[in-house]
Amino acid sequence: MNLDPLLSKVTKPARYTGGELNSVVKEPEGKVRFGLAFPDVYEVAMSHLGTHILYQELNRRDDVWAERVHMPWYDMEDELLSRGLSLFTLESRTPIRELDFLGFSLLYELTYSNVIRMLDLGNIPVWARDRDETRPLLIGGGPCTFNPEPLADVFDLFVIGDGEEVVHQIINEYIQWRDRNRQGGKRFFLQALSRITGVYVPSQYRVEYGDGGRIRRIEPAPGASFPVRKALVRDLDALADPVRPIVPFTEVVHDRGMLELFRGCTRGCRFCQAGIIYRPVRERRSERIPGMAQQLLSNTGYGELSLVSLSSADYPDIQELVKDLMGRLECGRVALSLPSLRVDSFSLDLASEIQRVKKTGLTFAPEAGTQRLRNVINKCVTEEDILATARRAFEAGWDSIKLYFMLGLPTETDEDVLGIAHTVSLIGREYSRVKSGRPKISVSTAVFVPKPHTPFQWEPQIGVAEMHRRQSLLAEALGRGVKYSWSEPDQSLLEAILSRGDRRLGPVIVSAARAGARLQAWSEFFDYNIWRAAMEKEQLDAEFYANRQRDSDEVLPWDHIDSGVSKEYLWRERERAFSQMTTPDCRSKRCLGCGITGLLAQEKGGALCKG
Amino acid sequence: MQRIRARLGKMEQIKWISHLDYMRAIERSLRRSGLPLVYTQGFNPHPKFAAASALAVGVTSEGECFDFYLERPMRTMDFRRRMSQVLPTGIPIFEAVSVPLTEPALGAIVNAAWYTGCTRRDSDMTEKEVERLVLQVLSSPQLPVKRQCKRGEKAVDIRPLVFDLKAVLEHGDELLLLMWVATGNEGSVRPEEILRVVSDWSSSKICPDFVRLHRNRLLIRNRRGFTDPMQPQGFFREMI
Repeated sequence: MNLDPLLSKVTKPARYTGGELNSVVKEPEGKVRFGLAFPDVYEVAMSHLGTHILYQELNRRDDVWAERVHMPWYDMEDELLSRGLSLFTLESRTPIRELDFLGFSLLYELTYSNVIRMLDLGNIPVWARDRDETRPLLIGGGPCTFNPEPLADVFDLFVIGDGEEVVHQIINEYIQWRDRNRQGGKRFFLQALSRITGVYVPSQYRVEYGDGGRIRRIEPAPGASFPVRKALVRDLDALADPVRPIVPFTEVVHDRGMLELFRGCTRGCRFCQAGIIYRPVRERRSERIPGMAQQLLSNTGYGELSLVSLSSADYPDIQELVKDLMGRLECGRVALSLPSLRVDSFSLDLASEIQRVKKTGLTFAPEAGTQRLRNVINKCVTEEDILATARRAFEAGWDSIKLYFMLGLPTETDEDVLGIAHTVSLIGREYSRVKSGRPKISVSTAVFVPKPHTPFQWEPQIGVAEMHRRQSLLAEALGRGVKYSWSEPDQSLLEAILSRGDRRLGPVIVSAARAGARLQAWSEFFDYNIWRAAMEKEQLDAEFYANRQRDSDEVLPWDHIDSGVSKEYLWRERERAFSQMTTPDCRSKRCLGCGITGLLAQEKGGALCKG
Repeated sequence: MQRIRARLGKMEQIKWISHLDYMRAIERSLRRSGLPLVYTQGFNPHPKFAAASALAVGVTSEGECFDFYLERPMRTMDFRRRMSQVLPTGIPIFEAVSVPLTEPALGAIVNAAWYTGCTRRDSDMTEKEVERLVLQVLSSPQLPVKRQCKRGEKAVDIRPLVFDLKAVLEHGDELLLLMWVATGNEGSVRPEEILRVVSDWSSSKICPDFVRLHRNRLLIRNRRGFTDPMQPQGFFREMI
């Protein structure tokens, strides 16, 4: 397919041409054709570590060819539509309907309408029931699958949890079924798949609704597991090392080598979904990291290496490791970066250590503006910590600092909002104690979105008018010396609707997508009016999903999805939150009984959890 | 320190990446190579190398010139071999020569480029007709074209920037246009601008858009004619 006539018309044509270093081209004959689909543009997709890991994991096999498919930018989408061309894979430009599998990474809810548009662009029926075995099988993966219900009628199956091992089991089953002439059809195949831990086949569950639209019950088909347990990779070091990622030509969001230090986090911040669904903590052995780093760099040529995790400073040997790596990387002028640092002096020492090659900004996330509210969300950082860290940062030569907060957390009052501005002004005062001039402080706030599988999963989100009011309150209090950026309230509302949504939202997503909702995670394309109209058409109410207080005994749409952490534990944490009681990190203290040990015990081998 | 000048290509499969992307791909290849690189100073050090001239997106080339700097001297054939092992498919390395450190920068000396463009034409056009057309263009004292700039449109005379022009009839309905034009700080002309003029003067017998465009060489033009930046002492004129 000669794409030149299209490519000469669109922005950033390199998004669509493939051929990057470490991309894989195979002889298609006899291979299982797997499309790794990402429902956002190339630059975002290629910054997603999971996609790179699965790409390498799948392409290690001789019997599989994994290729990439992304959401095109609007200009390319229009070109494809106007010419009647199908969405194609980057590697071989194969129309996506010719693939065996299409596996979508679902990372954030605002990409859901892109999934639908990509299917439409590929001429693939969007409803699972309308696709027979001649069509690609649709798999969803990623954090959103811990409540995949809004897309339950679109996907054939979801992989809940870590995908690296499950994906091989799925493909092995597929090859067997394919070689038996697809005996029994798609239904039979899905039934076989549903026996794999971590595989959720939504068509095997029926949802009954009752009073006021609440779920009465979720009914599994005979033989279907209930609940569906997440898949868990017990030992990251037992997997093949993902040290040969694709190196994009064009600049992407995270333009650096990524090396995963550990998966999971035990800090227990009560708003944080990742902190629950990726439990337990699984660390890579520290002696393996330098060798992997070396390989990664010699395979890619990146000038920056990022040690990825949910809280890098929590890695046990982090200080030693950073020193070791810095020694090795300095001669090649490779910079090291540690995202997700805590607000404390230990983290600052780490940050200072790694700044020797490349001076980057300093970012901290206190999340809330008062001690009271930080206790509520279990973000156990004190004002003294924040100020001492800021002061030492200024002493160490930083002049700019970035701070992340959330607005609309449960129990938040105006005092908490103003507390953000107060903290910022105290940071400014620390600066003037160290040196003259003014620091560059930027503050950014996101509106809190209650997420499934968190202690706040029952809580209402604040209304849009209230979001606006609190944002202006803060903007005014911060004054002009501070750069303030905030999230779009309507976008946060939609995120709240979809993240705790049920199956009735499926038709809403499809009709919004067809009414023009595309690239909705991009504020320039976001249009809440489309969604409002789609909700109205289905006679659904935003408030029901976003702003309603749920009872402890309500059947939640994701109750049949088992993250390993029990609903009882989450409720207990919720109760502690409302009495401002913090819960210590179970890494350093005793086991808190979150339930994850139970999930581990159900499998062979000893408990991984340190509790 | 050693300075090695090399000629690289940008082939069909990567022609849609930008100049910046192309530079970054070369930088990463250098980092993979294990060669004794010289790094720039400052907060964000990177391997030191310099391009002669940026290439437009969508254009292939076999004439991109770069100066690379190494900590320790090495044989240029070894440099070429090591680089060809690490450069991505789509970026070949054709030749490498050692250049004195005192030589002026590539960007300061390269001022011309030779392009070959392929376009469509009426199948009944004859050699004579095409030849006459080219002669007509070249003998015209002025070739005004319109260029977009910050404050709307601007008229520019590109005649002094077009050094030579040849047209070759290919079988079928294709026409090759060989263009020697100015590029760089002292003014440059885009091959598309020339084609537009040729197309206009052909009473639309020649299509105003290229099907393919290729940069054959970057050149140094002086009073004696063209020289090759890879061999600054030599005299250079290559024809097909």
